[in-house]
Amino acid sequence: MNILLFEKLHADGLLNEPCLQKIKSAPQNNNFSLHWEIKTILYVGVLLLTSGISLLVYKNIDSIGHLAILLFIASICVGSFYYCLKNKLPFSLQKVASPNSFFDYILLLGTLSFLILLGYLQFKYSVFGNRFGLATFIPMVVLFFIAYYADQLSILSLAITNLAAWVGLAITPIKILRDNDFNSDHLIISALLLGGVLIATGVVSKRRNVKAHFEFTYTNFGAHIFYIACIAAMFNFGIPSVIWLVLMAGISYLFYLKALKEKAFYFLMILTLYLYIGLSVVIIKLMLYSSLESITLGLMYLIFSAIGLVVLLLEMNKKIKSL
Amino acid sequence: MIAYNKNWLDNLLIRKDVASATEKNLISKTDKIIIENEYPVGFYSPNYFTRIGLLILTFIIVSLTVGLIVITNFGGRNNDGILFISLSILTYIILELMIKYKNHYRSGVDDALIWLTGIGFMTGINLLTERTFLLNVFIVFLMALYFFFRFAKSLMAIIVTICFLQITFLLSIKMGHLFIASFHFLLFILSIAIYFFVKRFLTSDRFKYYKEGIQLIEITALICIYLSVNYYVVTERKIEFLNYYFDAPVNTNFAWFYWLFTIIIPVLYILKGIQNKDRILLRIGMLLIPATIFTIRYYHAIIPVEIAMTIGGILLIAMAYALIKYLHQPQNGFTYEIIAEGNAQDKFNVEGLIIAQSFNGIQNAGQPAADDARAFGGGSFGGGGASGDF
Repeated sequence: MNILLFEKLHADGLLNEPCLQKIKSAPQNNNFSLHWEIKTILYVGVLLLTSGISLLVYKNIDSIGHLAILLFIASICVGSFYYCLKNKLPFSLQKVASPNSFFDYILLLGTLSFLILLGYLQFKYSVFGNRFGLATFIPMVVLFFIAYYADQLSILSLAITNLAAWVGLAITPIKILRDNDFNSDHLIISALLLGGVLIATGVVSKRRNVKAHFEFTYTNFGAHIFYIACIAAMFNFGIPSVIWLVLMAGISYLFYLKALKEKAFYFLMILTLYLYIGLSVVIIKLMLYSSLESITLGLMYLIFSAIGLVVLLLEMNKKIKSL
Repeated sequence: MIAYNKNWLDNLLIRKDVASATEKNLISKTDKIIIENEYPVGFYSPNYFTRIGLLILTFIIVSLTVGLIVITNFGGRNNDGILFISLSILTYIILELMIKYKNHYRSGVDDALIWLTGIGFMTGINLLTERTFLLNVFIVFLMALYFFFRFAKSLMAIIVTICFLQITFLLSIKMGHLFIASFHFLLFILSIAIYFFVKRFLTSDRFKYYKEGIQLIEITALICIYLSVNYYVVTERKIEFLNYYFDAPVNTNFAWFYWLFTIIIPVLYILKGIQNKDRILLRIGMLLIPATIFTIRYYHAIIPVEIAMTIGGILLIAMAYALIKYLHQPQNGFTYEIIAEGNAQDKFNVEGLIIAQSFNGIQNAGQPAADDARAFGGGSFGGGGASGDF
């Protein structure tokens, strides 16, 4: 630490004597933290182990060794859950700090190996038969249970992804645009409903104070799903796309109020960008339908609206800062 | 030399020190506010989300404008080169004006304009005339160097380093066969030289605005040292050194030399990193271990990959567990506890990156996991991942 700086601050009368002494004596206690390094090792370890196991299962699925593998996975699963149960802090509806970061990762390991186990059982013994809904439903319930019981946000994300899979959607960031067939009306409607339900769950979590810190994860997933579904709907349904824009504007207004209240610039950013995309879709569609089919005009619109968006973002940033 | 208001840059540095002292509970919050009032910073530096948004938007606006001008066929087809160069000069003027009068500092707008000026200029110059690759690299080198010093743009430091190595490579090829054969040694020695040369400036007061950039040069040099002697890179002649196919015969008598360094360098980095408490060395060393493992596996695959992964995973978890237990009480100046180190922590948050990447990869968590969000929101989730800390 820069002692000279603090001495100067002291000389200028900005820092009192005991404070300076405290700073001067502090650097001696200069421990080097290996926290992130160890966490990374741990995380890579969990990742390697779970991917190794899934590969193992995949390659040996027809050989005689599968019972041994099953036992191996089950023992990892049971071992991890046992460790977590033993070390876990008592359940509460509020935020519960995790005992240590080792705990988090072991729980993740246990959960992932549990999922592998279920998948294996389904493939080999068809435990759930042909009821594929059940095959995604049960892991989802388990995941939600673990997320709430052990207060784990990362597992909650897993659970929500699974919920979406149950509804029929892929919502991981990479897959959300690639793997979903947004030409299907049925899918868009489910996505809209799912987004709505997630947003509502976020609101209820906060209002009822049931794991209120889960609210961000719910709202975040919900908002993205909802907006993307709305934009997809603009291209699909026979009704004018303005209706969807109005729907987007409505939900955006709610998000806007929420963002201002919580000083959350993230949501402000999201709603602005999605609304802008929606508005642009409507305007360009209008241009296409009317006789104004000119590339120059389209480009002009995009340039000036983008400049407008920059100004808007700058203004909003100022507004949030001054709150 | 630097374009930004020096007074404010100094104040930013002071504020950073004060903030890290506050995090360690050495200075009270009220004192911090008093000090911050005494050292004002008038920059316009919005939060991270806005910065990314503004960056993308600036890129879109400028490239759409280029598209519009090209469509309206400004001055005929032959003048595209001049068009790009004049646009690049224009963006540069806007950039300087934004910094001078609007006080933009790391706002996304200035970041984008720096890149656009460089890209526009290179495009223009290449449309106008035919140039050798060497000359192009040299121009990029000079420009990146200028941007680095003028705007303290740390990413430019990587370009400067790589261009420098590239130039020496291209020059050494011209020197004849002896240099081609020994190119790896040359690169090896040069990278080591760069590392030690640059390291001295890290604590120097003259370069206090360029710290991040200097660290990036260090990192680039460390990785280049490793790559220049990695067995795979050296022997699989098809390596492409920035667009230039390197096809020199490799003397297999030196195989043991390359193997030795492939294995030793990561270990050496980690040991040195721990000995000197140098986080960059330590982390680069950790990062290179997988590279070494892959290199070895490529030539000598002893056990099937799934077994190797399972065993490796168990070993790593056990190692982490042992380390956590061992460092429960701080040992010899090392601890498992999180020590606030100002911004350094976030910048090299390896874990956040890995989580964000791999969780998407194995289709598990859609949200780049909780840890990431925690790092953004400064602990309070009520802020929706972005509280007023920015």
